[in-house]
Amino acid sequence: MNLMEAPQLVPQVMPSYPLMYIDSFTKKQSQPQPAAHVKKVGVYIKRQPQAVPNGMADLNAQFVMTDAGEISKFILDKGLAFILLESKAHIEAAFGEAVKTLKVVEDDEGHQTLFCLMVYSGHSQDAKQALSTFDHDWWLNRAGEFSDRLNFDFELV
Amino acid sequence: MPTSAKHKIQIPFGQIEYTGTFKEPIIGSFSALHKPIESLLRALKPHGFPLDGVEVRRKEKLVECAVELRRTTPPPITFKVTPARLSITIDNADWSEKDALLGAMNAGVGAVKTHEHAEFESQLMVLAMHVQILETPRKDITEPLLSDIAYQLLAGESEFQGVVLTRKGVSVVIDASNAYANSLFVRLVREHKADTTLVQIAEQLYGDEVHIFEVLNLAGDL
Repeated sequence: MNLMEAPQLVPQVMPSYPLMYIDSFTKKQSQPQPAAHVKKVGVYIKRQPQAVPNGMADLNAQFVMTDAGEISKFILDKGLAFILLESKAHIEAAFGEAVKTLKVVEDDEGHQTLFCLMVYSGHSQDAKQALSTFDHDWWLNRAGEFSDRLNFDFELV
Repeated sequence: MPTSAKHKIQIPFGQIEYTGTFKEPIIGSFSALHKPIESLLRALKPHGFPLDGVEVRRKEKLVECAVELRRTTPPPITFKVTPARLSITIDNADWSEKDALLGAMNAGVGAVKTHEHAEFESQLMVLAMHVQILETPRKDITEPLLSDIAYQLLAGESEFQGVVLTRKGVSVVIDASNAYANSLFVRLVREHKADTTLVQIAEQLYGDEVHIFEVLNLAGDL
């Protein structure tokens, strides 16, 4: 058996042309199958939209979630999938290719907010400037509708 | 080996697939399907495989016929037997569950060997996983893996670069994951001899996984 052929693994990328399919990088990637027993069902699967509610798979491909089950539920319950997907281009315009992490944060009164944190390894002043750009160019126009349950910030590493 | 601080990771999805190819096809077992189903179910029932997880696939081509037994309790396991091979797929396996999983695998493989008189010609273990880097951009992880000459292949800023490395009987692919943000897709394929035990295969897999993580300077639960 060819070592590069992992049996039963679903292709990650459907090739545009047959010849694009012969190299290792366009061969199969393992994708989870939908199953009722999986706690995180719906957050795994990108290429099976019928099993993924409201764009969660696209969010999964864009944002790092350290507790995918809780965060997915929050996003679906609070109707945040669309605005998060919309935010991607604006985040990248301000922060570049920063890692984007989602976290649910609870305050002292028990109110929960989803934070989208841009992981930034540069100088804090640059991060503040990027956040200010993001706020003024996009978020402030949308915050009125979502700010009670969604916020954006940066995290220095 | 890298000595700098390790990059924190999580593995949102991983799958192992073991395949044993038979020396001779077990055609007799597929002429009376109740036999392999009964022996497999008896062997696997103590490991959480229920009767309603049994599926039989009848095809015109004999080689495409299959008996599948599925366990739906985590970690989900699919045990599949065709006339030519046996495969076991486990999703999101955790090394802390190694003994229990090996117990299930051994029970199923043992039943096929004993009751269906199957002998292996070769064995193959595949580990495929999406490795999510929590803080560092993924392209930084694989950037040192390529030489300067490789970067000259294309002009412009690199968005990502991966590798394929094949040694005798083993291969690793490190690619960009399309399913998870800032994630690598890692696939490790290793051939094993017919008489290698499942415990030895598991130990080799663990060693390979640890080694890959060390080389890539990644830290997280395997």
